[in-house]
Amino acid sequence: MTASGRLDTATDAELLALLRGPEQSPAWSVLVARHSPRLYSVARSFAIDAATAEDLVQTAWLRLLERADQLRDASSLGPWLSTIVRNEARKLVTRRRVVPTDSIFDHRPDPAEPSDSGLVTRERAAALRTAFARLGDDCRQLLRLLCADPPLSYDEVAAAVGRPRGSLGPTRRRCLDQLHALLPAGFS
Amino acid sequence: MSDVSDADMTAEDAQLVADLARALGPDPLPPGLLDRAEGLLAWMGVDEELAVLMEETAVEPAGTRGPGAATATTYQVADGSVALELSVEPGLLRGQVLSGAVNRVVIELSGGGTRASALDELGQFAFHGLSRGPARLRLERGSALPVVTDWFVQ
Repeated sequence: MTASGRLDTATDAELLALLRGPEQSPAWSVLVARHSPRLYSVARSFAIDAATAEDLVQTAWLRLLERADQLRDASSLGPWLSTIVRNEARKLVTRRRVVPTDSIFDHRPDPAEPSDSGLVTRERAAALRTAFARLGDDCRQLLRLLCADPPLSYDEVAAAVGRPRGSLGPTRRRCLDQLHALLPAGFS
Repeated sequence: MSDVSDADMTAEDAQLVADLARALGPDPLPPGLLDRAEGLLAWMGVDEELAVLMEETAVEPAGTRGPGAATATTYQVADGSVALELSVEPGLLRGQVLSGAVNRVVIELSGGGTRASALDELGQFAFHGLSRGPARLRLERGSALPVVTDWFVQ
């Protein structure tokens, strides 16, 4: 088994501790593979283009390298990294570095593909995208985060939106109600 | 789906979220992102003994200078001995050293490569046409230790 294979099951705290030793390279690889996909989803939830979203992810990793020794609670590494992505993403929006337009065509499924077992027909998908585009910024962000694959933890979503965990349930309720209200009659 | 959707979400809501996820389509990680993130390990321990310029709040609130205008950010070391104002626009990074005997500013790009700039008589400097990606500044102070900013997105 490779060094990385054995480290796959190590906790974040164990991996961070290994960064100072001879196994720093495989430990770093596991950390990066473990968290980057979710961090990327957090960055993209700000309606940010792919290249800039990657810049945000890389910046979060660089910040970790700067202060790995100072991380108080390694078990919250995911939310800690998500908070960095959030803070830097908001600065970019403030600087007008990115204009948060929501391009629903950013990753539209290939129309040549057959629909997925009929679970979502082309018409339903189009109706969903249209309704989604009419939601407010905060609901679009929250729903993007809920749709993230791999899924985000409750704490990562809270860190991404900068709100307490307890507010997520009611906000999710409100946003899903709004989405539902924007769908055409007879959608369900 | 996210564990935010567990427990108190109805089956109907869970289906709606699942349908929405399919409708929005997959959003895969850009090719090579993991490789590039792995490469960042080279930065571990580099300049870690240096004082870090911490970011203060933005000098001007967003929107007061119209769309597209740069927003200046102030950085200071904890003891206030070095202060820097930095303005980042696409393709142009401008700054001014407000205090501290800085004689040269170096920008480090996370993908590799550095560029140096001298300061004018007002402590101002600029970098044009930088390649994209995370960057940080190192303010050199002759025989005194340099100070660095946090990594930031240009």
